[in-house]
Amino acid sequence: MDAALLEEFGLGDARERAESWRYSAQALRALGAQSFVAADAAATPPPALMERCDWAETRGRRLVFVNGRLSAAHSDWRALAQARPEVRIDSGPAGATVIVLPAGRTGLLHIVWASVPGAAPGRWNATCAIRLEGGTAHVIEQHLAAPGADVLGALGSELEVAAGAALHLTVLSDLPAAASLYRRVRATLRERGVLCTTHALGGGRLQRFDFACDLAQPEARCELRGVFAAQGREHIDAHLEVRHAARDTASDVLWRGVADGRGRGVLHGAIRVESGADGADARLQTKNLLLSPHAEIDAQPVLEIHADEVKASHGATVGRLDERALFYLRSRGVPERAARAMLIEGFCREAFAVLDDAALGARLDTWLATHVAAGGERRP
Amino acid sequence: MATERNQIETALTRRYRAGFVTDIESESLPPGLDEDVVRAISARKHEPAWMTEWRLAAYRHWLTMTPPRWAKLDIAPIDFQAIRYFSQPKQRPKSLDEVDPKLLETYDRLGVPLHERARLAGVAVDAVFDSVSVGTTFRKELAEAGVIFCSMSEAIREYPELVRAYLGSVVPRTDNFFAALNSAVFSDGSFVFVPKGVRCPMELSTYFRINARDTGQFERTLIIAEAGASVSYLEGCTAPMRDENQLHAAVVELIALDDASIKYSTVQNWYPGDENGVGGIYNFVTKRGDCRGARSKISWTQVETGSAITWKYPSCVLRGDDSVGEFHSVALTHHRQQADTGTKMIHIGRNTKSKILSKGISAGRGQNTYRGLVRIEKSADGARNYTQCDSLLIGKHCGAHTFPYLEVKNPNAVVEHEATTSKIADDQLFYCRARGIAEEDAVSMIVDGFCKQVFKELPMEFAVEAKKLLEVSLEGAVG
Repeated sequence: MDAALLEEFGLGDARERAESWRYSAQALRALGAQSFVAADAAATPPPALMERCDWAETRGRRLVFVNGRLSAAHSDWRALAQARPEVRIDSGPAGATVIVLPAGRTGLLHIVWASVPGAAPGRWNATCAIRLEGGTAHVIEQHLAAPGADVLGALGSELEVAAGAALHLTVLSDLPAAASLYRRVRATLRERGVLCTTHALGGGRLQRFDFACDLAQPEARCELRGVFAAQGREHIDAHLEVRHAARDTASDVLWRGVADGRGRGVLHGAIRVESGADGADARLQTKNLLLSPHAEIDAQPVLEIHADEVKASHGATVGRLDERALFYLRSRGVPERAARAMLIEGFCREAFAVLDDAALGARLDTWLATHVAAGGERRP
Repeated sequence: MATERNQIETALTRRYRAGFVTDIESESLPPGLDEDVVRAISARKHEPAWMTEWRLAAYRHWLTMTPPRWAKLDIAPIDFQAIRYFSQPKQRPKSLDEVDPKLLETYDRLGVPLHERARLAGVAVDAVFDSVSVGTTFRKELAEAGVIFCSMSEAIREYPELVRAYLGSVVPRTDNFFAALNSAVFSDGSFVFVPKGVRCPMELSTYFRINARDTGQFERTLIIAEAGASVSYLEGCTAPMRDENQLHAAVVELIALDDASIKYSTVQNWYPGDENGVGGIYNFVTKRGDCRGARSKISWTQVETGSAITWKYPSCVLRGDDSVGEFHSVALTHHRQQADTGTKMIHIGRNTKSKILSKGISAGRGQNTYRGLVRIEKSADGARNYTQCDSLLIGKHCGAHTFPYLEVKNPNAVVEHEATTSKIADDQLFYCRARGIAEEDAVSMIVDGFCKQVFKELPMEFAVEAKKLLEVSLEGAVG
């Protein structure tokens, strides 16, 4: 079964799969050793779970998928349906959901992926495409799971950003210890298209995020930001790949990672500049904090450059909390635990700095308090 | 007309100056590899039984392995049965005075100080021609200091207990495909032993030369620095120009005990093949240093301008507390050369430090990859690593790639990695041209500046040599 799971989740030949799952092979193998039944798409999510995605600012603009299938009963898209031009939600081939965002200001779209375990370990698969035809749109993707038996979700997406359009994508994952998620996104940007993403990944037994961004046409630009926070026995693996395939494209990747307890965090950030993609400007920066002697962080920034009129750089660090900053705070009367929490939160917040949505900012703060600051709190 | 053509031809061949063949009688084993060949190599070198068994065990293990293919390299399949695994000049000299003058001339043409010139240079040299060492200079002076510097075959005969204790202790014979092959068929190489507290009185150097056709060179180098000892070792290599690819699969093991330091410098100038990628050496080498003792230090410096394909990662296992590992590298690929090179720093001891400085230059259709692993084990409290790798692109069709692996398991460690990629800026070129500097000279000046941090780690004569090599290798890269 484990080989089958690698076969299913890995891309390319055996060698590429082995390399891409280098740091998560063990976690995947453990999942593969387990047997799963198909998760029940008609399951009812517990009210406590629904409360966590019932955001006031997204009422009327929310799609809820339960175990991979769109649940009309739990969704609420009145505002989206009334918008002119209308946001279309279609069924694609093989049960895929296709969301078309027309040109013009569509505002927020809140997509919730809820995993609801049954009595036995369950699995679900889903695909969902989002096409932005013009203008700007903000999509919030939230991953949740109810506690209980193991559940493994696999979700593939195509994102398309039309010429001149700008898509903001915020991904918030907050999973219990028994939930695993394999999320694969392939984004394609046309001429002058812009994609800004902010990821906040926390919790889960295994969370794997493959995010490939294709700057396919001239002057396309992407900004990928995010934080992963692994504590307990959580394993989070983020695989970012930016491909510059046209002239004058730009990318800026900034990620923060924190690992505590027996957690393991992986960040693979690859920039590939194709031959002919002159004028590309690529930057990648990842900083990571290791907070426990049993945690591990693996960082792999990669550059593949096939053109010469290029500016490309990357930087990666793995280290501990700055003792001097801690001392500074303590000398001003901040208790050690609070000081630690403050520093860790500040460290992560750098990746959230671009968001100017106050309500969303508050939600990310709550997320930080649950997944990151707890590490500071637990310390003596 | 004829002279003009001659001039053109001279200009063309100037690119690889070491490309001549020495017409010397040599005796070789027929191509192919099986247990009998391994036994024959061992027998020719009059090796003790344990060594033969060691080789056979490596060979049997090698049979179970497949060539690795994870590197970003495009390698034509190698027919391991078409390679001659042993070739040596027919006349075995007793001393350097008896060495075939043609051979001496070879090293003379290469600028290697083998004879009286050696005295001027003050460098002890071990020259390895195809499969065997042809001479080692300054034996007496070194012996007075207690330093053993001789060929590997000699060491197996004369100092078997030392060889047995250390051989394969850093790179086990089962380590990887090419290391296993080397362990089975290695023909010669250098052996250095610096006893406790001794500072080696001069630079040691080995010069490797592949001459015969269809031969592979499989040398094995073992350097041991006992507590408090220190040694600096240089290595140079060349090969004739041939249309076939030749395999060079060496293994280098360094062992540094408490407070010892080893500095290992390489100027690699194997034949790179022609502009169209025909011929050239496959340089698949396993180099690893073991900082076994506390406060020991191993430093690798490499200038890689030759070889059709370079595939090597000189590494440091930082086992001793407070030990230090360094890696300084310049790798240049031009025409259709490929390189996948870098290092591995494995931090195990407390307060271990490592520094990686890599400069990659790609020109023509060259593909240059830096691949480096920094692993901080749980036990490595206070470990520190700093990595900088820069790439310079010259031309539209080359590639520069960076694949670092940072694996950190200790929360008290600090690991930093930085990489940049750029090309020679037009304004830099314009500035030089405006001051009357020809474009090629300007390029080599800028490249020289780009590599300076690495060159300054090389002993002076080697630094000059390396600088010249880069200039020659880059000829025709611009314009």
